[in-house]
Amino acid sequence: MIGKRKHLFIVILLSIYLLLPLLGTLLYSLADKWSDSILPESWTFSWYVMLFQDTRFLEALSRSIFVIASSVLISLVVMLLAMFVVVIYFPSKEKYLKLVSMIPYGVPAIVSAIGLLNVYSSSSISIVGTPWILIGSYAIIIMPFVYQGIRNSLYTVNAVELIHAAELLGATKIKAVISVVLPNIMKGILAAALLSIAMLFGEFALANLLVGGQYETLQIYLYQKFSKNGHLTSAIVISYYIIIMVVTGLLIQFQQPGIKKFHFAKLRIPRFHKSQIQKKRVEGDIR
Amino acid sequence: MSYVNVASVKKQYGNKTVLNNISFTIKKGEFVTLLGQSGCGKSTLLRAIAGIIDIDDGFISVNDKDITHLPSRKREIGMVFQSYALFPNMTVSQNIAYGLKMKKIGNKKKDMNQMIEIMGLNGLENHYPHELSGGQQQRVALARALILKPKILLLDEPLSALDAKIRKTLQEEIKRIQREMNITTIFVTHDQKEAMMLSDRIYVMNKGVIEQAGTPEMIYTSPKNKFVAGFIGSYNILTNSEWKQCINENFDISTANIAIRPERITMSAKDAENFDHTGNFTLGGRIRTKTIMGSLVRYQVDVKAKRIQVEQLFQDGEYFEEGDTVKLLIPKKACITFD
Repeated sequence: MIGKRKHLFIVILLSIYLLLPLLGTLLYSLADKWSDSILPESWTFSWYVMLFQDTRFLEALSRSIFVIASSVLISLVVMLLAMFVVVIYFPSKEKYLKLVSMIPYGVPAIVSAIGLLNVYSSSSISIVGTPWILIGSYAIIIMPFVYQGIRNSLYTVNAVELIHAAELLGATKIKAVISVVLPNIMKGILAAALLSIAMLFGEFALANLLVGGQYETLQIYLYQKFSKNGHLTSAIVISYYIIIMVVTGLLIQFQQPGIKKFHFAKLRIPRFHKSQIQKKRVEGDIR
Repeated sequence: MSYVNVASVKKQYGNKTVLNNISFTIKKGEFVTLLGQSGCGKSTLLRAIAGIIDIDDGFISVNDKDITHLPSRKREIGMVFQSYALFPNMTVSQNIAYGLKMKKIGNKKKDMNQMIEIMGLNGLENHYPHELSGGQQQRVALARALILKPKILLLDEPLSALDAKIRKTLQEEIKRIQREMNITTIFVTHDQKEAMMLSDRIYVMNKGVIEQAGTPEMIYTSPKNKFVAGFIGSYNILTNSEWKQCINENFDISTANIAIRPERITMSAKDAENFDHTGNFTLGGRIRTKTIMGSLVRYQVDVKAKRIQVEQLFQDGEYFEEGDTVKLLIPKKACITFD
């Protein structure tokens, strides 16, 4: 019993330690006046209204979404094609693909940013300061997550055996991949994509060094607002946390082993039987 | 008249020869088993016939049509994999109908209903593979392969993942369906009892070569070499010198080994004088262990430096205990000699 209480105490202490700064930020984002009291003297939602009415913020958000979605898409397509070719035709060469895919893990963002700047500043391809250099570098840094996600899914479903089985039943290789393998690894692909999105939303070093203010993304916007208005910065941070939490929640949802299919039908508003509707009308629930 | 002809097939992985000049033929409607230990090349041979792997040399034909370089989808071969390889995103009926859909043949609904009936899968049509038991998954895999009426059915250890009871039921069902449909079948297994029970003919494989081919009876009663004798049944295999040490009489064998099936040995506590010495060898020994095997009693008997296994039917009669001194009577006819 004492041991259980001790564990509970540690969990509570750790939760306070982790959640207190977030709670402080949340309170500050909702505070109107807060100077010499424990809790804010007055509350407001105006910082959020101001934030979501700021076209600069909305543009930065849409730029971030565009850059992240493009890089994740490129990375997925490249890695899927590479993995299919390697797994089906050259399984013994997979170690090389693994090595190449894992390199971004070992290269700090600052190093790759300086390397890219050096290469492209003196190159005829002038993409420094444009979203394209950011998309390219993001597509590379998420490669380890994408590789691992796709690889694990392919081996879990025994993709090679499934392709062989489909071929023996008359399917071409492409048909076998599309009709049998892809639907079965979709969960893994989604998990890899969501993990990458969550990671890229928090990436600052590459965005700042490669594009900076020339193509303002959410991270750059946050950095620039940081010194100007604390309340607004807090509202950005909380909004950012909510986005990350939603993405992480989806990630956990897709990684649960019991969930095989996502049924949109389950999301429909429950249908009422005619008699139920009449009854509710009488009670005044349905107008 | 041979229906399937596998001639001088060779396959190497790096320096390792997996299939070394394999040749055999199969008659139409025959049930043939490739029997051997793990890594002997039996699954590789099956996959070569299916067209899943390319061979380095040799040729394979079915009904006089050379299929050596034909892609697997054009070979008209059905296969059940060890893992079943059912499509997890499809229901039972979608799995079964997949081949018909790909090849755009047959009356999909009629053929499927017929196959579901034959396989006893009624009521499971809308279930996904993960909702089925191992035995049911195996039936779906079999139905999916058979619905296309393939020229040959290949079964790659399809029963190895099942428990003993279901395995026995499915062995009988596979045999029944094979007979009913008269489909030429090649079965791969490492289980010699399963091979004996199902096959019309057995090919015993070892290190990429066929060690012996024949009917189950022939393979069991007349193993050609030490490997086959060791793999089939539980033969007592004695070297020439061990044999000479065990027997008390002057009986020279010219071959290197002698093999005796445990159930051919008669055991008695009585004096050797009561035995018929003319057609038998008499050996004296002491029982080391006794094991009840259900319908059999298995004894391990120490005969000089060698331990000999004896099996007797578990019935009323003379039984022995561990430590008893016994006489073993081995019919001379039961001694198989080979190098």
